Amino acid sequence: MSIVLDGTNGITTNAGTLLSATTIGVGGTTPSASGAGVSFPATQSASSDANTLDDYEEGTWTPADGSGAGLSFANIQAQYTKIGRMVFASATFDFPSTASTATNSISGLPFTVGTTSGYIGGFITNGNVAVAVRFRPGNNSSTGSIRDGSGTAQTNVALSSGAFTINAVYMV
Amino acid sequence: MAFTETKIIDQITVTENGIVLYREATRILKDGEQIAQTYHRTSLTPAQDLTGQPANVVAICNAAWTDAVVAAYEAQVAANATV
Repeated sequence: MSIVLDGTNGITTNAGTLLSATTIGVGGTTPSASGAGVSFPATQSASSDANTLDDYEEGTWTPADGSGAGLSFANIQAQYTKIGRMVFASATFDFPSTASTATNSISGLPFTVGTTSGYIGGFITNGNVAVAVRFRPGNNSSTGSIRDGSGTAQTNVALSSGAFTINAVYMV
Repeated sequence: MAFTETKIIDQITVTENGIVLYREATRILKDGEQIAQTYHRTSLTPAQDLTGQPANVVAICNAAWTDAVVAAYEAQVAANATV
């Protein structure tokens, strides 16, 4: 077997496959020192090719009140994973006791939601408020709202003292 | 063998409609060499309360959030509420 390095074709092997015992860094990225996998650049190098995976990132985020009522959520646990252009973000938190009649708004989504409404969605996997069924990220924004089954965004008071796990799936 | 932890804001992005997103990287170093990294992301919408945000992020928000940007964003939010 031979391995060829050149400025045009990068790395090729005569067997046509490439084996790495641990990690591979793409885009000049230093491969991760832990586990085995593919390490992507810390800042996405976007590809216009439909068959190229050009980004991966995972981390945490903090949902916050974006309604203007100054509410503070408690017991927050929130994580995200971005694969290519898709973002999967979830958060568990407790809504405070409130009499605010402003429409709820959950801000802090880890990436801005794309502009095409057909490519976003969200749901609530845990909750103790009957009218909270959907989570709807807003187009071209980093906020979303908790809605009922017909799609009506709820007021803060309707969600008062609720406990929720929201999930958002959207394209950037 | 010495382990250290550093936190740094390694990305700040301002979108066309004024949303400011930043990423805080927490890096674990072993004898000065990075062995692990985690991320925490935050996004801020025009006119949002900036209490507790990092000073460099606040400076960018204050520069980006002109009256026109805030008004346009509020109009967008109002439009989103109906879809």
